[in-house]
Amino acid sequence: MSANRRAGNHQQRVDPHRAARLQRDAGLERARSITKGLAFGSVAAVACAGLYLSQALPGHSTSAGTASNGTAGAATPGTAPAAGPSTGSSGSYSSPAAPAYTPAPAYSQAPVVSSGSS
Amino acid sequence: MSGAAPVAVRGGRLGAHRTTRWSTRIEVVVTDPALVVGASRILDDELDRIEAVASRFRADSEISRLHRQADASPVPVSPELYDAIDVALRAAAMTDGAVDPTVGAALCRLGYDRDFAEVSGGVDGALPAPAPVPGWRSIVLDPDAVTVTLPPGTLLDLGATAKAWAADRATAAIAARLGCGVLVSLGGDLAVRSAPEGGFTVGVADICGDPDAPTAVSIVSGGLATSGVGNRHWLLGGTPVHHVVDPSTGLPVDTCWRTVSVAAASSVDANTASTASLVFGESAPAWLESRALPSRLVRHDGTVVTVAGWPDDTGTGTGGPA
Repeated sequence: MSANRRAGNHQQRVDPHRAARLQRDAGLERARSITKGLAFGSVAAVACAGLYLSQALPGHSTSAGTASNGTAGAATPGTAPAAGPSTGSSGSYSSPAAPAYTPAPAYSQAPVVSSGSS
Repeated sequence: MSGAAPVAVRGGRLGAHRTTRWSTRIEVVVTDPALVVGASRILDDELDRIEAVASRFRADSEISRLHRQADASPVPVSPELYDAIDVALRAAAMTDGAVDPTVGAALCRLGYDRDFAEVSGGVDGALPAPAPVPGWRSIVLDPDAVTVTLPPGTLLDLGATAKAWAADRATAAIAARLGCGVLVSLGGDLAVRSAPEGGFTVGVADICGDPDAPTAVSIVSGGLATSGVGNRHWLLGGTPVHHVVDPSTGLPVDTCWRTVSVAAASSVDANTASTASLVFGESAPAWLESRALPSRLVRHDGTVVTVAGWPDDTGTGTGGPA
């Protein structure tokens, strides 16, 4: 009996330093959870806002570039820059686009048309 | 275009219709011979629209009205003329001004102020002094107001792009409305959609329509164009001149190439590159190679240079995905 009481007393007498450490760790764990939640929440909010804005404000195309008007000296809403992308009615590129397929030799077939200077 | 009867080619598996317009050879080839009449009508409609909008030889065209109104203030134009000029300006941008639509007045000074059929016999006059053209950067497009602003006296010539643009548009319209494979060639500026297996076989020659083309290639999609100085030329007061103008001088370009053929993703891109190559001269092969544009360049002495995978004239080269 006395041995049991000693054991109980031992369980009740917790090391105050250890208790402080446990309390600190628990606090840190709570802070980490809150921080993580805030981070996820922020990312989700930014993503949702971006999605919403992309739908609400789909942007606008310009056929124009930013070239200056050398002769007229006015604003140039329409002309494309000499180097760099330009957007027009048929797409946006700064260089003639290569073909999807390279021409193949066709010496055995009679041509259906011919390409030449006209 | 209705004057020419459709013909069957390649054993009747293709239908073709050929005629002449704009002093040049107009051809449409479709993969279903039964659709050739419908295809030629669609092409006719397209050419009618482009001519009404962009021909500088017609006093009643929209571009002629624009020229008359040019006073450095914005002029409202139709969406089609806007697009035609936009395409020309993009060609200028892509070539750093080598293909410049403001060469119209320079061409008029060379006597090319009416349909070529009326010029080819020669015109009176003398070679003008060199003077740079106004420059494509002087043109202002406003996409919101759909207006064009030209400095006074500026004349546009859309010849370097309008034909190829019409080929691209007509090909797209025919393929979409008739659901067949189609090739449209406007004076050798050709566009292809939904080609038959093995592609359309195209002869490549100095002169469009030459039945003895020295080489031939198969085109599966996109565009092919040939530009040269050996066909559209005339005498100006006894001096030989041609239609490819160097924007820096306003005079016919003095080029080392007789013809340049280029394959590209579209007929507009192909013709932009082939015309620019005449202006670029010796630097053209490197320019074409750097842009992965398969090309065949012919010097005045007949020497052939091929770049970016264009098969050489002996048949070397396999073609295929670029």
